[in-house]
Amino acid sequence: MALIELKGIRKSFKQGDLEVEVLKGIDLTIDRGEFVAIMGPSGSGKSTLMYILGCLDKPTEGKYFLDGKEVSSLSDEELSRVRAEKVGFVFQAFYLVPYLTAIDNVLLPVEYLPREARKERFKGKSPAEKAKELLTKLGMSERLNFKPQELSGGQKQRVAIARALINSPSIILADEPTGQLDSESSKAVMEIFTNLWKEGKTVIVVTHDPQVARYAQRVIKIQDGKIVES
Amino acid sequence: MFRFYIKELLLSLLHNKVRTLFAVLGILFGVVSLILVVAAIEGSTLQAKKVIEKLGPDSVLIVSGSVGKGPRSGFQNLSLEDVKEISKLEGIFALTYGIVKPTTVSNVESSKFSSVFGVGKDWLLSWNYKIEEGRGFTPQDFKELRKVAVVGHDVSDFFWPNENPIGKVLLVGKTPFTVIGVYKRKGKTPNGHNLDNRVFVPYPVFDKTVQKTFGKVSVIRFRVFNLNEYDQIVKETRQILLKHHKPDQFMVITPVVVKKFLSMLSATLALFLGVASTTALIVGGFVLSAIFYVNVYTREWEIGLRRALGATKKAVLMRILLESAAIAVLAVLVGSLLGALSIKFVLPPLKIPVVYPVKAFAVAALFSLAVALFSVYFPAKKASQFEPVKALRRKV
Repeated sequence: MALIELKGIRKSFKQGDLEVEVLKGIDLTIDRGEFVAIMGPSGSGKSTLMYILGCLDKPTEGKYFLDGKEVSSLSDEELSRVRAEKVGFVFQAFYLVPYLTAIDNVLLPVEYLPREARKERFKGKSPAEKAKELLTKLGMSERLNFKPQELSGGQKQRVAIARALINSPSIILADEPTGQLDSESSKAVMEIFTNLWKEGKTVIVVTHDPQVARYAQRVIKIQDGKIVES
Repeated sequence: MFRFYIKELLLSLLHNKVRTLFAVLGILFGVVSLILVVAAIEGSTLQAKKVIEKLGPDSVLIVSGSVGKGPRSGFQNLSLEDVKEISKLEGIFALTYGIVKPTTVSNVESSKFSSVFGVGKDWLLSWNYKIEEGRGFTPQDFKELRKVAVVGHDVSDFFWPNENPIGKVLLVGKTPFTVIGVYKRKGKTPNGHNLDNRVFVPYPVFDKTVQKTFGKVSVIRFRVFNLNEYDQIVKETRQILLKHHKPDQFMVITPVVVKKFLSMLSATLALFLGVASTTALIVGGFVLSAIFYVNVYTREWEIGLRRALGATKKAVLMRILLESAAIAVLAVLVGSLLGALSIKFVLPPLKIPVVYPVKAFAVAALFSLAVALFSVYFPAKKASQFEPVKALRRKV
């Protein structure tokens, strides 16, 4: 069953007087439980596509169905809710809050999960327990109370992945997750994504790196705002 | 999660130390000055009330000289003639009069400076001096010109610390007086004059021994039976006095006049200081606003991140307002403490009684919270309008 369905998605930005079209009609379906890599050179529109997939940005034209629900017409507030409940982001630059420990960084998204959803997602378990579990699973049990500046790049990205998982989202969206990591850490992080996929999660990785795309089960190539291969 | 929210918020304040410090300082001065001002005003009002209490709501006091030149100025324009005329007024009682000379009193061994009063018959009663030891004056004391004195504790304790002062001899100048009574301690006047360092002697004796009075007095005082007639009696008194005196040679002091004068003073004070401290708080608000504007831009990526994690615009707005509220609370706490301390150290030298006005603390708290929320609303609104995608790209 389709988790994500894009129909004729277009996105254009104003640059001065000029209207630049970044996405030029994207049709795409991603099923639940897929591990997808979106590949393309910089400027191809892959990041814009990722932000639209993550409900962080709205398409100028076209329809986006997430989990069977049309989200392209939702209000900003409704989109925020969708992000909190259904999307887990992993970024290239980690985006860990510097004054919070690893475990507190992982807990941050719970703040924004609506109360009813919170009950349902953390059945009988406290968010802190779940955060600890996730970090332990990612090999970070010794560093729960470390601040980001005390962690290596690979460790930071593990914390970020745990943060993306805490609210049990439908999709994990990773934007160049290995962009700031050495090859060894990159490998480890990609193995984590592979394991998540094996557990049944839907993982979408945006990258320009073929080494990273190799891990995915399906590669979507985008160029000049259009899908050239999927 | 509420606890986590608060913890995370406080950690962010702690992380942005410099911002937090300056923001707190911005509010702090306003809080301290507001508290101090209200305390000063309440203290002065209290003092005014005390003055009126001491004066008695039913009393009329006439002193020689004009404003700023009290009974001690040396001008004795009033006379026993005036007393006699006033005594003809109906509806008054406890009419008395007095004249004062600050002078040296002594016994054989030592001497001290004190205020010696030549007083009329009902002086002690009229001014509410209560005899603690011995007795007060009798008509015989006046008739027979007895050299007797009623003294305060600061006098009796000085000369006869461990003895009964009654019957002892006190020299006023070179004239020996017999101490017949000691009055109960009265403390200080609201203006700081010591009421217990006084020596009272009968007026006619004062005239013969201490200083020639030529029938002059410096103070006349009486009380009114029926307060409804008060204004009329004051009017008549003024008319009597104007027969023999120019308007600037005497002052009729009534509780109403005192109240008017003091409240005028405190209103001026309140206006001036109130404007100053309100300005301080409002400037603090501008400071806060500017600090938060800079702050939300340096944290733009963090706000973008929170939006990506699911924060609504409203959540971002609330979050930043709460940070500001927390800063205001901190400023109010520290400011109240400093305010209380400054009340303790600033008011006494100004001779304003120390009061800790609960109202002022509450007003300062509410006002600074309002200023904090109002001034940070605009940067907070701005932050909530950040486009998440753009904001995320701001990471340095």
